[in-house]
Amino acid sequence: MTWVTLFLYAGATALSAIGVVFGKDRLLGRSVLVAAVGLAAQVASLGFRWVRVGHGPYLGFYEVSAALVLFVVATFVYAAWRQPRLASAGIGVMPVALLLLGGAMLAQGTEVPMTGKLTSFWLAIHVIFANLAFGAFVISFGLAIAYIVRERSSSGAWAKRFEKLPAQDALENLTVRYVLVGFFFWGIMIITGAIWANEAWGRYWGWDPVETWSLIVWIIYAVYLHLHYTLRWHGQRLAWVAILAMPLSLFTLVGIPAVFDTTHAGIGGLGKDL
Amino acid sequence: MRRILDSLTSRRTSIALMAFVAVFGALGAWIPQTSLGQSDALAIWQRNNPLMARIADALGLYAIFSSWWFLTALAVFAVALAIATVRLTRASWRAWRSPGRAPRTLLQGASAGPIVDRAKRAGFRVRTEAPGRYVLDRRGFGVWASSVLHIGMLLSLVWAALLLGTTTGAIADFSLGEVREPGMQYYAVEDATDPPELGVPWRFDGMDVTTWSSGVPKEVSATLSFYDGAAWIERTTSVNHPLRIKGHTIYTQPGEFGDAALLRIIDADGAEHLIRMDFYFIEDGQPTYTDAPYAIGDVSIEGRWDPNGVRDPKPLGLRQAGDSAAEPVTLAPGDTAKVAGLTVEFVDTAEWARFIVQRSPSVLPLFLGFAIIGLGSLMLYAWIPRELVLEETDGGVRYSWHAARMSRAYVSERDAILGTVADDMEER
Repeated sequence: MTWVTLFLYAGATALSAIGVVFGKDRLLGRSVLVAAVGLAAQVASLGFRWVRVGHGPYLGFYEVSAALVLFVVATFVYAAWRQPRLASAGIGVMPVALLLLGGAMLAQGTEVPMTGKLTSFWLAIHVIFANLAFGAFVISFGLAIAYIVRERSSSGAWAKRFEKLPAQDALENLTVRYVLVGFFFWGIMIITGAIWANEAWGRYWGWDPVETWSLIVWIIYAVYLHLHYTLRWHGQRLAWVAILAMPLSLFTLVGIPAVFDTTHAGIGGLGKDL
Repeated sequence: MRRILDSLTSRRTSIALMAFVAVFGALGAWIPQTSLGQSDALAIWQRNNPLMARIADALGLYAIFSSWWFLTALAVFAVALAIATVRLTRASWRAWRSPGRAPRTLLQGASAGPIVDRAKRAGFRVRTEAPGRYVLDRRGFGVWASSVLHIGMLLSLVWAALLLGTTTGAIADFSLGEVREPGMQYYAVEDATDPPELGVPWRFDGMDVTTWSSGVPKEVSATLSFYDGAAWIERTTSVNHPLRIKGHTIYTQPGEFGDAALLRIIDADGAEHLIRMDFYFIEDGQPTYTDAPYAIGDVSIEGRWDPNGVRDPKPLGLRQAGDSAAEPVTLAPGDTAKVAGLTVEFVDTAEWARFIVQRSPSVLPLFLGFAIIGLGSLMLYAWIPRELVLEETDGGVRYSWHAARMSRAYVSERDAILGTVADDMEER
C-alpha cells in the first residue's frame, strides 16, 4: 500500500510540474485529485500498520516521516480545495512529500517498540501538533517558492505559469498565515512536550538536542514574524526566510534523532530506550 | 539611560538576541555538554573533532546552557521582552482609544452611502462621528494581539524562571518495606540546604511491572504508603503519572528499580559490612550485573544476578572486580562463601527503587501564560484590525485606510469596498 501511495504522490508531483511548466491548468486540478487519492491510500497504509504494531505512527524514522508526509499532503489538499488557485503551489509541496516518503520507505522494516515511558496520551498530542506544524511550514515553503519564481520573472514566461495563483500580496499574506499557524502549532508541540517531560522525568526542559532545535526553529519563525510585522519586511527577502526555515524544521523532526544522542532517539528509528 | 533602554528594547536587539540563543543553542546541541552530564560523549566528540575541540575549549562551549553569558543573554532577552510588552500594551491602548485617522485621499464623484453599504456587507462596523464622516472598522480588538501574545510570553518566561529557581529535588532510595522518616538523609539532593520534605513517614511497598507481548515494560508503577498520624494510606505513582501529595511530587523512574541481594560481609580484619547489592530490572529475565564494583576495605567485588537460573541455579554470583577470567562464586539465600578473601553471607533478597521527590510552586500560572500565548496567536492570525474613515466632500469622498498587519494583503478588500477593484481572493 505504501508503494501505491508513493506512486500516486509521484504522479501528483509529475502532474503538478507538467501543469506549471506547460501552463496546463487542468493538470494542476488533476494533481490535487491524485494527491488526494494518494492520501487515502496512505491513511489506509498507516492504519494497517497501526493495527499490526499496536500503536500509532509515532516511533521510528518510517512512521514519523510517513506521518509528516500525511499531514503535509492533507494540508495541501485542504488548501487547494479551499482555494483552487493554490493548486500550482504543489510544485513546491509535493516533491517534499515524495522525497520524504521515499526516504522513509528505506526504514520501513524498522519497528520501534512502545516502552513504558511512551505510554502516555501526551505522546499523541505532542506528535499530532508536530505534524500539523510541519504541514503548515511546508505549505508556506511551497507558497514562498511560487512567490519567488513569479516575482523573479514578472515579465517572463514563469510568471504566466503561476498566473492562476492569487495576487502576490495575497500570496504573501497566505504564506505569513501558514507560518503563523505553523508557529502556533509548533509552540503547542514544545509546550505539550515540556508538560510530558515533567510528568515523566520531573523536569520541563533539559536542553536535549531535539528540544533545543525545536526552540531554534520556533525562534527562527518568531524572527520571521517579527521581520514581517515589526520591521515591515515584504517580498522576496521575506519569502526566502520561509524557504530556508522549513528544511530546519524537517531536520529537527527527522534529522536530529538520527544523528544526535537524544531522548527522542525512538523517533529516529534507532530503537534506543526512551 | 533612555538610550540604553531604547537600544535594549529595539526590534533589532530582540531579533539579535533570538539569533544569539538560536546559534548557541545549536552549538550546545552539537557539542556534548558537561552541564548536562554528557562527559563521556564529550570525550568521544573531542577525540573525533580535535580542531573544533580546541576552539570549543578556548571559548568555553562545554557548558553553554549554564554559562554566565548564555544566562545573561536570556536575562537580557527577558528584560527586553518585559519592556517591549509594556510599550506594546501602551501602543495598543493608544490605538484602541484613538479617533479615526484623517481622510486624505479623494475619490472623485463617489458618495459615501454605497461604500458604507459594501463595508457593512463585508462585516465592518459603522460609527458616524459627525454628519458626513464615518469610521468603519473590523476586528478592532485585534490591535491587542501582539500585546496579548507578549504578555503570555512574559508570564510564561517569568514563571518558568521562578519554577527553575525555586524547585528543589532529591532522590529517595528504598528497599522493600523500608520506612523513610522525616529528616532522614536522601540518596542525593539538588540543594542540600533546602531539600524537599513531606513531613510524614512514608514506605515503599513494591513495584508492579506489566509488559507488552514483546517483553518490553508497558506500565511501571510503585506502591507507596504514607502515615497520616493514625493509619498508613496507600498510594500509587507510575511512569507518566507522578504522585502529587502534600505539596510535593513523587516520580517513578523507569530505570531505577530492581532486585537486590542483602549481604553480610566479614573482611580480612574481622570487620562486618552490611551491603545491599543492587541489580537493575532486566525485562527479558536474562542475567544482569552490578553497575559498579562494591568496595569492601581494600577489596572490590562485583555481582551477577540470575533469578531465572539461566547461568546457574543459584541466583547470586560474586567475584573480585576486574577479574573477568574468574568464574563467579554462586550463592543462594542463606549460603556463606569466601570471595576474594572476604566471608560473604547472602542473607536475603530484596526489591529496591529510587524516586524523585520534588517541591515546586504551582504550574498553573505557566499554563495560563501558554493559554494567553495561544489567544494572542489566534488574534494575530484571525483578528487583523482594519479601519476605513470616510468623509463626504463637495468633490466626492475622502478616505483613509489602515490595516494593522499584513496591510498590503488587505488592499484588495479596501478596493472592493471602495468599488475600485474586485476582490482578488477567491474562497469556497
